Amino acid sequence: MTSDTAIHIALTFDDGFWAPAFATMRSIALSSRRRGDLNFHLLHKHLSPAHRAELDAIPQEFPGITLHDYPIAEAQSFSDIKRGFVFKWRRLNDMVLARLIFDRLLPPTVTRLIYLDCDVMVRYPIEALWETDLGGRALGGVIDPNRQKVMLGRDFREKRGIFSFDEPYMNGGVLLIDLKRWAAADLMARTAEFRETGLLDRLYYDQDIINLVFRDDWLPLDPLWNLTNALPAHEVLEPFIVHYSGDRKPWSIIPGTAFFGNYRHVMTNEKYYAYMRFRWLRRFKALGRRLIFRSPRVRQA
Amino acid sequence: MRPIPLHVALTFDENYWAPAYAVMRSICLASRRPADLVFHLIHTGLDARRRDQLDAIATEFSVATHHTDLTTHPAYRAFVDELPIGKPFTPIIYARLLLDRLLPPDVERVIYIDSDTFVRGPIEYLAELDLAGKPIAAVLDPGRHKLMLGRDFRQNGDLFDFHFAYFNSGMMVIDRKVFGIADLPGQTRRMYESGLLARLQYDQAVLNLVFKDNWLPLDFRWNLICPLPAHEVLEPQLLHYTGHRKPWNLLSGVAFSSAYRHTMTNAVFYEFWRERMRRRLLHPFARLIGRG
Repeated sequence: MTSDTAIHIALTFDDGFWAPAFATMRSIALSSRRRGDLNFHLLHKHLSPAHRAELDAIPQEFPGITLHDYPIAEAQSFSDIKRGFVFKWRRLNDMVLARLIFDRLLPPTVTRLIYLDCDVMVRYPIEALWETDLGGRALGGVIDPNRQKVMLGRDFREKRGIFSFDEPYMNGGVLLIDLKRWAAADLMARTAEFRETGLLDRLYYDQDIINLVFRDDWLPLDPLWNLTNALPAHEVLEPFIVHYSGDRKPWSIIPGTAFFGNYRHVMTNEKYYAYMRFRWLRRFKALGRRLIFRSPRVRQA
Repeated sequence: MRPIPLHVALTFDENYWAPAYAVMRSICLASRRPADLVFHLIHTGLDARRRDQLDAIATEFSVATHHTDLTTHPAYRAFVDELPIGKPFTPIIYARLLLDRLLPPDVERVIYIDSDTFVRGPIEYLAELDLAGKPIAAVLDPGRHKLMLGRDFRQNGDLFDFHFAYFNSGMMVIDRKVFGIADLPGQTRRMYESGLLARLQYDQAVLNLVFKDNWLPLDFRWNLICPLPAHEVLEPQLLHYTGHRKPWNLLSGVAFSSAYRHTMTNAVFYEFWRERMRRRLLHPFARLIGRG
């Protein structure tokens, strides 16, 4: 399915993120000098056929790029794995679970993987990240500048005993993964252990799990590979990957983020406005549902 | 031995006299060799009062000023008469492309600076830089991808690719001889004749196409684009107020806005503000009587 020189990139998203996923892929394609080696592994849930068709514009514009689909909600293998995961955790949604079990969902030929959140824009050849020597570590990631609040929680007390203030903690939005080491770590089993010890409910999604499991086994990368909460002032730093991790998103009408003008042209104006209409329609529908189902007449009926 | 003169060139029209004054004064204040500074003020004509105000810099810092009035310059006239005039190619825009022909013959190295800049580092650093045989030293433009590739990053895909090292031309250290060999006026004319010029963004794109892979990249702090207060801690050496936020506005929100006002001097700052207000108020009437 893939050549020896293939670059494997995974994105996990649902239908609500179809256009940001497109923009992330197109930014990689635009900035790469090895387009023919790019393999996108799309782990998606409830992605509508129309939106899936929109993503095909990537290989049409950049021949040689390959898209691999993993419609996780419909996949029997995913359901089987999920069934084995018997306990409940409010933060364990399908996207989080998919990330924890990359090694089971992707073909065994994929031994190295770049994972990217869908709210990123790549500005530098992704192959430079791909070729990074991990020095025997399981992962490469960027230290999270906002880590103390994430690690220690409210008043820097809530999660005391799990993380300490001074330890390095990576942001999970951009990861270079040695998939064999990922598989060997068995993140599902470790998550079950955290549940047994009562730790799980105090954790912040898979990012906390990854940081706990690979605590001393990850390589800190140049912060420019994952510039979080990217604002216009950051543009002069020439970041390699811009990560719109805060509340400000570049697809909003008045985003106030770094490179928001560029982002629109990476997403392409056609898809940018289609995505805007999609979001507005979704909001109207949600509002309509709320009005109908909460109105006294409907309740009486 | 006589120290090497520090030649600085500015091109501006009458609307930018006060920002030009501020740039010149910032250079004088930040330099450790102000007595060696020679300012080449290339403009589209200034009245005597504005000219005197700019020349006041020479009195305050013992620097030399040299005016070139483009309206009466034969080489410039001959060049622009063959080219389209209108946005974005206003008359003053073409002056940068003709720089080597507008300066006195003794100038070998010149630092060109836009008038919407503010210099905080000693300009002699740029004047003494080893250009390694390149015609230009400049700073990579962080907003280059949109400027180069246009709408949806596709429009100009045949002219630029994503990896094209595209500099911002608001600050250029120029080796006059090598710069002149490139024959920018001739190249610009040919671009106009082939229809290419109409697809380009200002003269900056012309310069980048002509000097492709033939320029020396400098630290971004020597031309910090769109400077915001968050950039102040980076100790930028030259701030370039690109975009809509300008430091001469009362509420600019840019980096070093207060330092800029004191560099421009409060007297010039408020005079320039009153002049702009007057122009804005009179503009609708001037248009009504066909003089706007």
